[in-house]
Amino acid sequence: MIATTPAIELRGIHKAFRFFTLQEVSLELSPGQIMGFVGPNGAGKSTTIRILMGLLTADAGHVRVLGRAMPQEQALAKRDIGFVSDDMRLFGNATLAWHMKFVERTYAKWDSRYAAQLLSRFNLQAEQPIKGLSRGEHVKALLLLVLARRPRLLVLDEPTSGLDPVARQEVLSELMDVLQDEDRSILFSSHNTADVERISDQITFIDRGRIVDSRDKETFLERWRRIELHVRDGVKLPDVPSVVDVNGTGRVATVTTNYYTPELHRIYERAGVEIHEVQRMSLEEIFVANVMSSRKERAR
Amino acid sequence: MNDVSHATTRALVLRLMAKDVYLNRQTMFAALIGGLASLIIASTSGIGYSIGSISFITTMMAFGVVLAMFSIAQERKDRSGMFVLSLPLAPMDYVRAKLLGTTLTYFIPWSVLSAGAVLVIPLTPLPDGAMPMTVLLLVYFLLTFSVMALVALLVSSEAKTTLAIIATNMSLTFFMFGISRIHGIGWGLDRKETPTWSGSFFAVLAAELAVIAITFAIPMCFNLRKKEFL
Amino acid sequence: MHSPLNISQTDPRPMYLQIKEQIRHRVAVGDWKAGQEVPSIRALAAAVRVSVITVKRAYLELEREGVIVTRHGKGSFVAGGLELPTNLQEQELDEHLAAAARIARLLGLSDEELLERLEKVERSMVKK
Repeated sequence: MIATTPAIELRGIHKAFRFFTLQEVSLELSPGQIMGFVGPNGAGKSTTIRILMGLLTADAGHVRVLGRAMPQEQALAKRDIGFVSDDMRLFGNATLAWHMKFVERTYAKWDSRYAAQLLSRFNLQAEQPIKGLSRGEHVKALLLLVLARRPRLLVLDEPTSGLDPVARQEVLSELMDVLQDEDRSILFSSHNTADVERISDQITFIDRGRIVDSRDKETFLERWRRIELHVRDGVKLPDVPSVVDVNGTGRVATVTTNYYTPELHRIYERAGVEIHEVQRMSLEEIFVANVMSSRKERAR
Repeated sequence: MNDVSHATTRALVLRLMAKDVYLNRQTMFAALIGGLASLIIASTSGIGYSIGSISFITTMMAFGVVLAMFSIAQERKDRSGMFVLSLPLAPMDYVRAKLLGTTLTYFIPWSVLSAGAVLVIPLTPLPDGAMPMTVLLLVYFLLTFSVMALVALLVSSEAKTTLAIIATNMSLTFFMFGISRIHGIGWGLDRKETPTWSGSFFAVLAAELAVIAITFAIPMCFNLRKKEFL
Repeated sequence: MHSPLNISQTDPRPMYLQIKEQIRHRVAVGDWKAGQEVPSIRALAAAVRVSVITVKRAYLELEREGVIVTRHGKGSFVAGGLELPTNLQEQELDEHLAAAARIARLLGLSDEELLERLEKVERSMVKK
């Protein structure tokens, strides 16, 4: 395999604010992939995204996006990046058509036919003034403006927030369409873990300024399990290193493991504990369990 | 590669400047109408002159404040600045584009109204000797605007920006009072009918233009090490 | 081949498994015809709105199970009909032959001796 330049490369990012610090944040996105960036509010998702876009300068660490150092080479890098943030706004005193013309003149690539398709798919009117748009329509307008440019990298901070279910599905369709080109990549942060679970190749969890876990989705889904155990009286539950949470003190205990293997069955059997049921976990459950266990670790 | 990127950045900056003029078209129009109306009123009777001149000054100052607060500070507040920052430019390019664009927006009505004000003087009860002082006053409007614009651009605190705006506006009164005391400029009690362009006049004018130039030079020539542009 | 897959997130089965089963179903009923080219991983991912990595996993397992056949440089096709996974079987044969050759070398056998042994084995198989 030929080593290719990562689409995004963050190493050891540190950024201190008055009430919050981003620490040791490292992240890598390979071209052709989509990474879901998940974290509670205030975890540092937007800060990380702004640092990688060159809008904030980190105190330490190194940032390369599409091979370019940020923030120094951001003018060049941003030619190939489409950035949408849910707190971003267009100019209220102009129309969507005005913005489309503006973007067309600014960038090398603009697909007007695709833009027209998106207008109808997203149910937007080009001649409508921006100040008349609802929040959801505003986000769709921002997405239209980046999608029609077909940039190599899409960086989206909460792209589906405020969207109705129909619009959300349209957006997800367009995002998956982007990935038909294996040179194009997407980083998106979202609270909608169902969407993240469905379309992400890679998933990164962040909490309280630190990366909690980052790996490919299928591995996450294969490794995490919730196991219901039947513990007979007098039998003690064995200490298993991959078990991050134990719940229940009666005859039924539920353990959460972050690395499920058949070996676990043997361990419990040997300890005289019966495995009643092994359940897969949704990404949301994995995320919550992961964050809780990492907070416990840090508190120690 | 560097030449191409400089050219494209320049083109983008120009486009952003045009955008500022376009988005503020209604405000520019209002300032133009208000200013012209004031000049017309000022060229009528004695009371008309007082009313007209006050409303003219108010129009010029208010227009500057509206641009500084609504065009510049608002872009930061309502996050349309973020949209511009997502464009292929460096944050300092954004600062420059905003400063140039907003100044251009101010300059267009200002130049029309300034020309009008000077031409209208023969029609007003004001002696023609008042022309030099009027010119200095008109240039002072431009000066206060560039200072307000720079502060609005670089200072993120809305409170501090408001303070700076109030301070620059108040300085107008002091300026007017100050230059009227200078022998070569103020027309005093002798009510000269012909304008005298004295050495003091040119000195003050040069000082004003220098301040304006410095205000522009700061973001244009220096890459201010601002770590956060939001 | 116009029977789009339907992946449900409320289904307890993991997504890659749903993809596999739905493809197997379509192959079994003939909607995906034997010998027909299967959609590229990215095309299917976009059509079904599921991550590329999940489709890749499904395809990999379907290939291991012989439902799909990948011809080097030509693409992936539905197995079956005249195109039984000959490529896979041939690969397996080559692997076995390589192992046999290695052991023969260790034993110090010559090529003729190895061939003789093979013929002996084949004769004994026919007898059974």
